Amino acid sequence: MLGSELQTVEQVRALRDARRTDGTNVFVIVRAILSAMRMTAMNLFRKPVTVHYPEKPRTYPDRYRGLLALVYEKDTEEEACIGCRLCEMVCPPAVIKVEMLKGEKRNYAKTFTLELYACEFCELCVQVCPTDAIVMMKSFDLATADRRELLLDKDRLHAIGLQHEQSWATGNKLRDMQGPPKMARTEHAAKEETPA
Amino acid sequence: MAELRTETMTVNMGPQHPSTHGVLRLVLELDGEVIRSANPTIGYLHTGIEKTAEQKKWQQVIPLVERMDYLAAQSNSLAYALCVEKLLGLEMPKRVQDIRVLIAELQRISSHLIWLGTHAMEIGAVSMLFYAIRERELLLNINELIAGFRFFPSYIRIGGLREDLPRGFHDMVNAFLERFPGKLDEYEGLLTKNDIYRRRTEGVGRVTKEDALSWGLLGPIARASGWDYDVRKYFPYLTYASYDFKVPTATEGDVYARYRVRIQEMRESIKICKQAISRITPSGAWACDDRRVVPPPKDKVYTEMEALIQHFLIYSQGFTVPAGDAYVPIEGPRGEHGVYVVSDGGNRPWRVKMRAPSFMAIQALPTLVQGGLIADVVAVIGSNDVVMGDCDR
Repeated sequence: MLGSELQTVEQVRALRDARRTDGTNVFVIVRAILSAMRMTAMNLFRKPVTVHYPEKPRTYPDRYRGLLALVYEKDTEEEACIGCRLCEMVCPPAVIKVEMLKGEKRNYAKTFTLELYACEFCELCVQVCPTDAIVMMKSFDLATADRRELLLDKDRLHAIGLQHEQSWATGNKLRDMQGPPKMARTEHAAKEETPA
Repeated sequence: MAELRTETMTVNMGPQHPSTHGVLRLVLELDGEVIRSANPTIGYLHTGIEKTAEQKKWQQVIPLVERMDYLAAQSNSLAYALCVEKLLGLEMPKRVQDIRVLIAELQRISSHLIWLGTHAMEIGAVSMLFYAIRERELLLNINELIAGFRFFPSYIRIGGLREDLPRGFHDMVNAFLERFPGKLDEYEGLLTKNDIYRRRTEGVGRVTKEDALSWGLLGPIARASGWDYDVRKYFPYLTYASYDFKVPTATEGDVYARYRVRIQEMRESIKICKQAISRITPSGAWACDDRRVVPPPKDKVYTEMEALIQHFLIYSQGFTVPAGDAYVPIEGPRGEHGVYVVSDGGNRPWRVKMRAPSFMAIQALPTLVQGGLIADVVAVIGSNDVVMGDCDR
């Protein structure tokens, strides 16, 4: 450090006085406060932007990334997970563990554990799943006082899947979502055709 | 007049001090109210992200590096993605580049809003924080719309973007760009001409032009002390060369000058965003078509065997990057954010090194606060806009 000489009382005072307000400055300060208060008063008459969460639920966008869950197949009502372990391989914090159970027609997940307390919610597992078995929910309501409750097994994940609304549309729904609606597309095309 | 007592007092400021922006600890040697020396201690938020990145596959690093500078998550992932793409020799479609420009600029506004709110709150204008966070909420909603996550969207990926833009994106961004300039005027009405604010900031924490360069304070701090260095102008990346914007500068180098530069930067960012959103078509290419890196579209995975194999290969093994090293700087909200990546030709990075602007800002702190009053320390820390996650990583 660049050590400096100890300052005398005069030097310290001079340093302070350089920024001290003299008599007329009381007026200046009052004016400054009033002008700031005017801005605050303007905000007094605006609609509040906050939402009282548990009473008034927010609407989540379609791509919301919330709790993870496993789903059943729509038509056969079998477990959709085939235990391919792709999500386990792609998970950056490695919180997913899957064991495969060989079946006759198709494979199943023998065990499927997910340590939600270490999850990054990066959604890579949802993105890679070839059967859209693991999905994310439009909810984050899983606060608990016990960390062990966040170690989710297969049954728990299936239960969560039935409990909440499914978010990021997968499969065919995802493809539908990627493009803009036909209306917007034609509007934009019309805009491009007519030169400004 | 008698001399002051010769003993000095050592005060620990932080790591739990509310105005040290996280967990910065400053050991201050005080002579009365005057600071004789300051000694920043860093490392309280050390996360080992650089080392952890070496254990991950290339694509898995993206959600990780976003956690570094948590206020500007997408500039981290942008810098990393650009660096890896340089090694891979990928050329992005123009639409992807424009979307990335838009996202980077929105991220800059969002980061500057938090800086503005916290900095003003530490000076004493507490209500400023609520106004700044109110507008930032709109930007977080945009993040939530495009990727479903508010802080760490991981929307920018190596090889393009996560998905195409969702419906309603243009409306949401336009609504924000429409609303924000008026709000910015409000903020300025609160602070720019306010005498109390000016007295707290003018002449405080001065950085000379030479000091800014020798401390490596590239970014808003250097621009407030007379340099006009901006990576977007000097080494244009993405499509920045085709955008019309100015680089705001000031010469005083004090806290007030940094405040003015950042406010002007937000106005310039709005200009860039408006140009970008008019260029981005609602649908189009959202990734490059290099099948080494970008997995096949999901609908093909369901129906075609080759696509399914490729899908499994990319996600289970990861793609490989040719051996070599690359350094890519981008203009982050805090200054030049550089990423240096070394690859040994495998499916994981051999080394990832970040040039973190917050680290430079903190190493310059002792010279900035020395000889000043203790009350000014919070003003200087706030105006340097340090994020400890970025500094320690």
